[in-house]
Amino acid sequence: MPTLTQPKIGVGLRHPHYEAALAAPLGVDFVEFHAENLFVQNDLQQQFIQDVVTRWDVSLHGTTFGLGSVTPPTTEALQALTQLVTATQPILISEHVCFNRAMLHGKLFHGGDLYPIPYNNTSLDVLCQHIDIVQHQLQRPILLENLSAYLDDIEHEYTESEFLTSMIQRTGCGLLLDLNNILINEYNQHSVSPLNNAMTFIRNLPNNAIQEIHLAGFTPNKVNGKYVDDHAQPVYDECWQLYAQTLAYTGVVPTLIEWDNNLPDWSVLQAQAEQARKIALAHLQTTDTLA
Amino acid sequence: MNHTDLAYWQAQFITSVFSQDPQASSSGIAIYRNNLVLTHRASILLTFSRTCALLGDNAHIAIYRYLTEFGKSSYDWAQSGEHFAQCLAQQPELAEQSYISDMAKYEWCRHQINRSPAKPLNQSSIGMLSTHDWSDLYLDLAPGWSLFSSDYDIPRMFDAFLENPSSTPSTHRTWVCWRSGDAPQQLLVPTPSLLLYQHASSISIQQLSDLTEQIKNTDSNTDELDFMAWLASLMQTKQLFGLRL
Repeated sequence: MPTLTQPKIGVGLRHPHYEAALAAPLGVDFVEFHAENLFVQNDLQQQFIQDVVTRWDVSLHGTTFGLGSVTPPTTEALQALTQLVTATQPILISEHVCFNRAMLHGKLFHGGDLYPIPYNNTSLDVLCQHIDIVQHQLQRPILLENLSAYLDDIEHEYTESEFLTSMIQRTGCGLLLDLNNILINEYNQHSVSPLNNAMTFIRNLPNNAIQEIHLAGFTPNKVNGKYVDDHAQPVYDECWQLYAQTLAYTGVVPTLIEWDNNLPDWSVLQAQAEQARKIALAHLQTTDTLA
Repeated sequence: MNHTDLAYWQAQFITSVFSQDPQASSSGIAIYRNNLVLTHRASILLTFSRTCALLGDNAHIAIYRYLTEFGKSSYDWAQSGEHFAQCLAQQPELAEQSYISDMAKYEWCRHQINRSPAKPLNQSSIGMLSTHDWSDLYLDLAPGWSLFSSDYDIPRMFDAFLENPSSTPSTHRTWVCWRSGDAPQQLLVPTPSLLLYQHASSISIQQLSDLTEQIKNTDSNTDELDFMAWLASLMQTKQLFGLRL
């Protein structure tokens, strides 16, 4: 996907903001939904989807497919996603590099969360197979998002960037780069130079595969000894800095403000989007000047 | 690590997250368990607001017990409450307050009604009554159409948000519930037509008509029962969306 010549800034649209967002849609180029929240097909939901697609481009962000799970995604969920894609014609569709379910004593247990996977060949096979299933079903590539992970004792055979690069090469999927997740992982590993390490991680990824960026904040209190990616605060200085540096590597790509808990007024999200737009515009001006 | 090892590793991870022994795992797993418990609680509180109000201070314990005893099998958080009423009905300490599990059943019924797919009213299909063999015709009922039964007047408790209902059960009654427009509706099912309602979604029009005659022949109190009038009442209340082959 070529990089953009104008910023394309989106906001994660959550239920409490529906009314305010529809009334004040300006300053937002696209909205992102957690796909599963729109699977219900009652009259109200269908009307809401119509109202949304007439105002903005839409991005669908899956949170429950857990494509790294050994148990494959269900036909029911795939069909629901396909119907939603038809209804919303999203500019982007994304999921996470994670697993979320397992069979225990013959019964399926679904954690409903984003659990880390060991970076090895077997995980890669499983993940790529399931990405292929989704991409075949939808007849288009999807993006996969890097995780913030809270386990220190997973035995990996590859680094995260090696694993993600192999995944991209094998499936043709793109990458949704979540900058807050990268920084949280650095903070939780007690990195002395989180920003530099984060950029090193990003530079080890194929830049043309990075097709979307997520920006978010987190509550600066540790839970069980770790910072948690709770999307409950504004984007913070170090994350903005990382965004500016990342654009120098990727070019301008669609960028989304994510805020899921402790939701502020819709206008606060619009202001966050505006800040992202300024950084993207500054990058484009620098690029023009250099050219 | 081969495929079997990975499946085992993932199963162990999930086991740790769902474990009832918070001491038995790492701090990282504790974060995931915390997320699971909190999201599950939020989901149940949202779907079962009246039930949880009735449970009062015991709500959080009941919700946690539900998670540990029944697990979570759907990818969809909105489906996590499928067995909540059953779980409450099994709790010995709630045996004297069976209206609580009945309220959970009713809230689940409304939840399903709200989430039912939209469908168009097909009034012209009613014309098939005069052109088709009734043995081939079935009722196409409103989104979420279902029956709910209880010894208590649960719909009234729900509407009035009564937290201190009479603990004395009255007669066992059945309500028909469905969605009309954007809102769930319910009506008390008249006793003479209860059997018709119970079979409305599963047997043909001809069988429903025959059933009406059988009811009238076996119960002298049902002389007023009239199949066509019953069908008309379903249409008037928008329970009937049409006929299907």
